[in-house]
Amino acid sequence: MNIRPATVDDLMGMQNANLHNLPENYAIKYYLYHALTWPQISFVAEDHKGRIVGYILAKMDEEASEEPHGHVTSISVLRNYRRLGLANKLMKLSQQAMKTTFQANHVSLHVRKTNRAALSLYKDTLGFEVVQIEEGYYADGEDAYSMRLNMK
Amino acid sequence: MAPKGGKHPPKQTATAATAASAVAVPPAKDENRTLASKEQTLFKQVLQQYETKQWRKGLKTAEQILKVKPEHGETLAMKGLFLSSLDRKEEGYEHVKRGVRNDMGSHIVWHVYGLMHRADKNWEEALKCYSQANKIERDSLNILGDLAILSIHLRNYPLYVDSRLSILRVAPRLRRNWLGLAIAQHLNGQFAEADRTLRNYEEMLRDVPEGEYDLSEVLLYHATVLDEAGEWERSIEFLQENTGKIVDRQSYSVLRAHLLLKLGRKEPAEWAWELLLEENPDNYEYIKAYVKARGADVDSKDIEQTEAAVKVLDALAEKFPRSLAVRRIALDIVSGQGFETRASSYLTNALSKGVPSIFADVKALYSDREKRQTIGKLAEGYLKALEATETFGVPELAEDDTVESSAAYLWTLYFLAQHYSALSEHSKSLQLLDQAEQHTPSLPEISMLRARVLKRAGDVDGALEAMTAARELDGQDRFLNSKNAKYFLRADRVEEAEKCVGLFTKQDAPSPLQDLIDMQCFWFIEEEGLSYARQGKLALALKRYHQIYNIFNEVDEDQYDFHSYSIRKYTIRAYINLLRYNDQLRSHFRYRGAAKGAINIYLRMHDNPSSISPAPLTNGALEAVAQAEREKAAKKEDERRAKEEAEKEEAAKAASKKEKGKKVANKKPAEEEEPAPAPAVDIDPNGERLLATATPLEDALKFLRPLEKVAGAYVETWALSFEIAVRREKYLQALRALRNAHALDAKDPSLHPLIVRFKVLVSSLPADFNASLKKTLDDGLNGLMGNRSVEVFNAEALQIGGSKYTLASAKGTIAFRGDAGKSETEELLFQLLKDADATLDDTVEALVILRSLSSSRSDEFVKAATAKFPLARVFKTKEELAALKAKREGGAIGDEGKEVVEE
Repeated sequence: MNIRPATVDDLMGMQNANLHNLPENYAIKYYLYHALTWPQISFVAEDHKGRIVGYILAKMDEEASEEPHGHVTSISVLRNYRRLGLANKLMKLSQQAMKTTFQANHVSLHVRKTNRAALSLYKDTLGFEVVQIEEGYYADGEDAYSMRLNMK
Repeated sequence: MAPKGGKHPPKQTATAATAASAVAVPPAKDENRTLASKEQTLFKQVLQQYETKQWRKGLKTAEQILKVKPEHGETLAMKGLFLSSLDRKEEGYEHVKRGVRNDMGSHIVWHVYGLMHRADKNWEEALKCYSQANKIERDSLNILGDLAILSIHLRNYPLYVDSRLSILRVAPRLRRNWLGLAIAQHLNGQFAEADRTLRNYEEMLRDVPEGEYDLSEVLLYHATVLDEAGEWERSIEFLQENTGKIVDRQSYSVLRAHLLLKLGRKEPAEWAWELLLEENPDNYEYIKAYVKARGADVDSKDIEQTEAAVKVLDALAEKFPRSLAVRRIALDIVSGQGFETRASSYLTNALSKGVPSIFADVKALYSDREKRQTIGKLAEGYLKALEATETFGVPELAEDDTVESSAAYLWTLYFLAQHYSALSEHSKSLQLLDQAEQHTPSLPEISMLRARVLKRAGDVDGALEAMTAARELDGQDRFLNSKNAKYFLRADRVEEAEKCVGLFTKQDAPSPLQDLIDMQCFWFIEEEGLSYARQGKLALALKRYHQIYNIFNEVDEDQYDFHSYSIRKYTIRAYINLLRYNDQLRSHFRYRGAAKGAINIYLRMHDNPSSISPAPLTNGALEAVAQAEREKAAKKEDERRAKEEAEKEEAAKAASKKEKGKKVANKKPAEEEEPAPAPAVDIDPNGERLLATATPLEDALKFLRPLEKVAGAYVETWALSFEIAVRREKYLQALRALRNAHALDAKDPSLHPLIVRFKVLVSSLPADFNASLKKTLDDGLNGLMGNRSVEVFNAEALQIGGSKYTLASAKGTIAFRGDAGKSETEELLFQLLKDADATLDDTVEALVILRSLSSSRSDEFVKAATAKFPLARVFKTKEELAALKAKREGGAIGDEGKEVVEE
């Protein structure tokens, strides 16, 4: 598996992986918005034939009042490509770039309350902690856990 | 975005107007130009009202002026703009055009005309209008800004440089304007000028504190420009000088490491790449560059080079034991015993961890027969050893004495099942899967793989059943859901497929399909198109292909907002990347797939219009259908808008309660708000209008043109180009298409029958056909056929060997011998059954040809094909299929209705 920074060329492959895996989907323009605002912090995993099998789409939170921190818009790995530690590697690389390029000191993300698999990935594998519950965060009214990981 | 001004430029004389413009501008009648002071005040109001989007008020004010001065050009144009913003576009255009006619020397009317075209995405026309406005009003930043964006959007680099220079001339103090010019110069290939402009920009920024992101991005961009200019030495020095100011350390290090390599400074390059590898040892780019820095080359064809590369990779693997990438790359280039050892450690590592993708990962090695055999032998060995000793039985691993978990056995079965399926040994594969399932029941992976194996063996229904079973094992997983939907589509059960995906699409979307279209979900739309095409529902198939075509337009146009956004955000490198990506956007396999699907339907329509069902509607009936659809859609749209309004209000309330904004997909990056055009109502939701076209070949060209431009590296592009050209009797174009394909791959089997067909066609052109053209065609064909006769040419294709060439030669025989070659063709097609490499698809294609010849041997062929592909449904009779169905349903009593589970 080739793991590297995402470029504009990868966005359609990321979108494809996202549409296969997750219920939260975005049009290409939203991916472009990430790639052309924070080009350093999104990454992809690509198989030997050049197909995108995993990605992390990340942004910086822009609220000037808070200290700079990153936010994971979406992360996923195709089902067949599990157990390679890809999500972990993608997350680590993204965090590193958030830190060096944008001086981020923590990273946040949201997860559906009912999404146990994702919750356990963030919590147990990646070391995130739940900071609060955001009621009705998702379009369909479901609550989200707001999670956070401090970076030293 | 409104035209600025309102005050008239000094009354222009005819000479001044001509001087300002390339086209002669007739002097406007005075009454069409000037306004009394009362109306002048009103006109200022009009402009303000446009700026503040008060369209209704603006319209009224404009009408007030027109009461006094009915032919006043600028007011007419503004009225048109308001009308258009109020959904009265046609009237709008009429007014704007009249305004332009009445006062061609006014920059306002041209600007307005440009705005209209731009809103309609008529970029070329908009550009012309803006150019005209700019010629009249040279220093308007407003006009120049839009002109610049339009010129880069249309990739008119010289014009982009011009407009950027003008902007800079008018407003040199705005730093961003220097950056804009540098980008224009860079894109226009003026590297030295871009370099100079960037230096000026940086001069203005002497006192910026270190660690500023914006400057850091510009500096990296500057270094990239130098790199692209071939000024590697300067680029690396530049990086060195500015290292403290660059915060994107990764880009800095990668660019620097590449430069070191290009400059041949191998030792520092080696260190540089090694440092990067320590950050990320799974990056192919880093690995390959590191090997190069060590004096070897992974991608070389030279054996010494690859041997050296393997040594470097081995050392790397030792240093980075967790990097699978390093070891995987080695597998590509090593052979013999060396391959076996490395493959074994790679495979056992993955199997003992239960990595499901390990087979997909090594599958690419199967094009090498020896490697394929080695992998099969190894995996068989593991299976035996695991059964006997619960180890992989590999001597290297023997020392650590670990007993593998029983999962290793399962994943080895799973691996071998894929191995045999890849060798088309489907029943063996299925048998292994049965074993795996006995070992671990209810693992979705096993059912998923069974589905794939059955699909490859030609049993779409069995495949669907297995995939449905996989999904039912984990209803929360969208991936399984997606695959299940795909298999529904492969079995041409579209309605169920849509129901299935609907378990995960947005509940408030008009339909699951609509949500997937809005989310640009190509795979689903294309699979539906393919299914409809198989079912002969050509209108719907065309509709889907057009939807993909439209999404590509959408994606292409997404770049528009970023022309200005990226400069404001300083992310120039990413932006340049976007421009280059968009330039070849439609070489994407989804575009190629949709284009091929659509073109093939259009060809069918042209060849045999009477075969198209339902028969094209008469115009009247079509109008009635369209009208009804329009009304239906309009009603829906009203409801949707009302709902949206309500939701917006709701959201606004919520937002004011909570400080934090919620997730907003499709957030518009650019701040400038366009008057939102009303969402287009689809007046042809089922594609009937597309199918009713009187000009199928012209419609096909619409899909083909982008392919010719950006997908010229594919033989298929030129095959499609040929098919359209011969039907349009554009023989030179047809020849050119064949030549292009020939240049790509002279031996491509799909090309061969086209050449033969063209040869036959050209030989039978009427005697009065243009002689010099005929000669060009003959010469061209001789070149393509190596001056051989058609008989020899066709026989030679066969000699290449392999089922693809057997088919090519059979098609060639039909083309030049017609019915006389029937028995010969039959012979060829039966021969194909004996070709070991003949796939199911090849065999089906052969059967289709036999049937098209009304061959008496079709049944005999089917019998033989069934023996070869026992699971393939396509060779079964209706009775056999019915029996299978009964058997299946009998075996699953009570399971009915379970296929789409309510979750």
